[in-house]
Amino acid sequence: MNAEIIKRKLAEYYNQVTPEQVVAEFEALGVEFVEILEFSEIQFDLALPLSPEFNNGFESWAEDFLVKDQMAPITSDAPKFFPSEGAGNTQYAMAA
Amino acid sequence: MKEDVSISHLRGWHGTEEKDAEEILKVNFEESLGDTHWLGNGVYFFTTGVGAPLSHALNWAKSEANKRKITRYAILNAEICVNKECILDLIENAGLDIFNEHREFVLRQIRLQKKAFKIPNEEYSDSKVIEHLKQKGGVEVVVCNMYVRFLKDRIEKIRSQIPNCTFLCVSNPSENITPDTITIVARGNI
Repeated sequence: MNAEIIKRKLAEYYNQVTPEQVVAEFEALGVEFVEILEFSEIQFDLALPLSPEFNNGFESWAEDFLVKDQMAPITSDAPKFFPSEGAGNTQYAMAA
Repeated sequence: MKEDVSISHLRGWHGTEEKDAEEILKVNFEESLGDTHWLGNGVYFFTTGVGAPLSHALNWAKSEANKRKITRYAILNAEICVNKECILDLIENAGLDIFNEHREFVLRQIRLQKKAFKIPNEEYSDSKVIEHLKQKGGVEVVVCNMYVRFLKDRIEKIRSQIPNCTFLCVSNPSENITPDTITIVARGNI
């Protein structure tokens, strides 16, 4: 697989297609649609609040589960586990 | 002669009814079209990966024979030659990311039109997204680990989400499957 080439072709498509065209293309593939009465853009944003608040039960469980001294906040030169995710995530890297 | 490194040579095993296998030997494979294909339209092969592809093809032929009342099966083997940039590998995370990003994109566009898919069996909505991705991304071969419900599982009513085989779905078989390489490697009574 050459992922970069496929991604480039898809990016070109994403940049020029309209929602109407996407619907028409799927109709051409035989897909039927149902109407959604009220549209609301749902943000599937992976970003978590910087200081998530857990209930006490979870914090207690997390205390037992996580080995805190092996985790350190990401710094600019540390490897990221999820480099593609956007800003705002709580990210951690293993301490050296 | 120098090997063209941009081309991947893949091997696939395909189980079917014996008389259909004989026909394929004469005229090459034809794309299977429909709404209920896991990875969109194409020719489906078991390939090297999870489990033994020859065994899977045999199991598949016998499982389908039970449904279609056929008495003789055959297993075909073929070489698929395809440009690497036309392969979507859903075994790799990079391939899964491409698929998931494409699905998110198209579903978002469809929602903007105040619409949603109406598909009787939701399991097959992936099929339509993959078919669309193939067209827009220039993809001709999809590789994927999947769970296939063979006859034994059907009888015992077992379902799983853990893949038990690896599939190749090949579009445009006249271009991507070399007719000279198609052979019947096994045949017999069901």
